Amino acid sequence: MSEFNRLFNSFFKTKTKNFYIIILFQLIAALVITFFSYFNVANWQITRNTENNGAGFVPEWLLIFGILAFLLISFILIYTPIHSERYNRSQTWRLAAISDGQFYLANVLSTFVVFIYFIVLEIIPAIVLAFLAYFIDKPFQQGFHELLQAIHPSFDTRVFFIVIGTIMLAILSCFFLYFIISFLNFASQAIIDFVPANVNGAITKILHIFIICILIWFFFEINSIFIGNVLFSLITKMDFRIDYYSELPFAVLANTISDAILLFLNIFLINHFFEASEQNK
Amino acid sequence: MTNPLEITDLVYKKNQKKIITDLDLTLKPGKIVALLGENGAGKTTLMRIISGVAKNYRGSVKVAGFTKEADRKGHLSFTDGLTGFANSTKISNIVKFYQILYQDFNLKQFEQLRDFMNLKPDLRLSELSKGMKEKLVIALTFSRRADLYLLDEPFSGIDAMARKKIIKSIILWKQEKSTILISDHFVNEIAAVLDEVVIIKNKTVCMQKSTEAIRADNQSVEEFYESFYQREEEE
Repeated sequence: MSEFNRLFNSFFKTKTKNFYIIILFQLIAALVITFFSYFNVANWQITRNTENNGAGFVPEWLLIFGILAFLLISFILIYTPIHSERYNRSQTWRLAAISDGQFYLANVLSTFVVFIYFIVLEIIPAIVLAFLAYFIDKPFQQGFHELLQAIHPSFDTRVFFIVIGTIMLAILSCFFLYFIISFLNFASQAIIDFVPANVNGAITKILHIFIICILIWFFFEINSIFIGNVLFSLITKMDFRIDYYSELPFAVLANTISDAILLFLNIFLINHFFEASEQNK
Repeated sequence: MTNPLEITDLVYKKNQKKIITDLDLTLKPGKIVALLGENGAGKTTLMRIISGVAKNYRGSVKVAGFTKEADRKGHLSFTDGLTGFANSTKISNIVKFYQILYQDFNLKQFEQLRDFMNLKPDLRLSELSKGMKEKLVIALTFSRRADLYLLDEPFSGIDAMARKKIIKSIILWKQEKSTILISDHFVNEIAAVLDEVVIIKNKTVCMQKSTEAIRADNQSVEEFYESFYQREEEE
C-alpha cells in the first residue's frame, strides 16, 4: 500500500469515527419527534393526534428523518473541511512520510469521500424506512404507485447534460469550499509567521482576523474580475444563448479554473510556508 | 556508509526573529548524541526542521542522504507529543494509527517496549501521567525502524525512575547502525550512554565533541558542559 493510501485510510477512519452514532441518534430523534407529533400524551394516556397528521406513522418517521438528514448533511458539509484543517496543522499527522502536497490532497479527498459516505449512510435507513412504509402503509403504497405512473422516462440529451453538469458543478463547489477554507487558513497563518515576535498576542489575533477578511475580499475581487470580465467576454464572443443550459458549461469551467488556482496556491503554501504545530490547535 | 544527518548553512527565521543561523552539523552512523543548550536555544526547532515539519528555512538538510522532506520523514523517527490525538484516545488506537501510517512500525517490538514500560493498552491518553506519556512516546518512536531517532527532551518533567527506564530502553532497543539525537538541558542523566555532545548557543552549533575526547581531558560530560558556559560568562 502506498503512503498516500495509508494516509487516506487513516483520515477516512478518523473522520468517520462518529458517523454510525450520529445516524443512530438521528433515527431515534426522528422516531421520538414523530411519536410526539402523532400521539398526545396526557395523564399517562396515549391518544392519537388526528388534527395535524394525515400521513401514517412510518411515512411521517421517514419525513422527519429526511428533514434531519438534510440538516445534518448541510452541517457535515461545513464542519468536515473546517475540522480537517486541524490535521493540516497537526505535527502528529504531518510527520507521515509523504510530501506536504500529497498530504494535503489526501486530507481534502478524504474529506470529500467522507461527505459522500455520510450521504450514503443517510440514504440506507431512508430506503429501509421507505420499504417499511410501502409494506405497512396502504396510502403510502398507493401514492408511490401514482408517482411511478406519473413518471414517463424518456431520454433527452439536453436533460442528461443538465443533470451531469449540475452534478459536476455540485462536486466542484464542494471542493471550492474545501480549498477556500484551506487557503484562508494557510495564507493568514503564513502571513502571521512574518509578523515581528514582539507584537502583542491579542493584536496578532486581531491582525489574523483582519488578514482573513482582506484575503476574502481580495480573492472574490480577483475572481469576479477573472470570471466577469475575462471568461464571460470569451463566452459571449462565442455567441451562446444565455439560459441555464448554456450557462452551465460556463459555470463548470469557471469553477474548475477557480478550484485549480486555489489547489495550486494551497499546495504551494503548505509545501513552503504552512508549518505543523507542536500544540493541538 | 551514508551519514544519518548532514546539515549545512542552515538559517531559520520566524516572526522576523533569527532562531538558527549558519548551522552546520554532521552525525555519524551508530552514535548516541546529546543536543545540549539552554531553553529557547533552538533545539526543538532544529529537530522540527530536520523532520520536515518546520518550513521556510534556508540551507541543506540531509537525512540518510535524502534532502526531500518526504524521504527524510521516511528515514527518521521523531518523538511527537501525540497532540494530534484526543485525550480520550486509547493507547491501542494510537498503535493502530502508527501501524497504518508507518510501514516500518514493528508491532512486536512495540509490545516488548510497552511491557518493559508497564503501559496497559486499554489506557487512555487522559489517564497517563507525564512520565507514562513520555514512556509511550519513546516506545512508539523506537518501534519504528529508522536511520535517525530524534528524541526531543524525553526527560523533561518526569521522575527519576521513569528517566532510568527510558535510558535503559534507549540502550536496549537501539539498533546498531542507527543514530540517536537527544535534546536536553541536563546532561548528567544520559552522560553514561553518550558518544558525542553537540552544544547549541547563539543560534548555532558552537561545539561538537566526542565524549571520549572530553574524558581524555579528565572531565566528565557534565563538567565539560558546565565549564563551557562558565568560560563563556568569563569571556
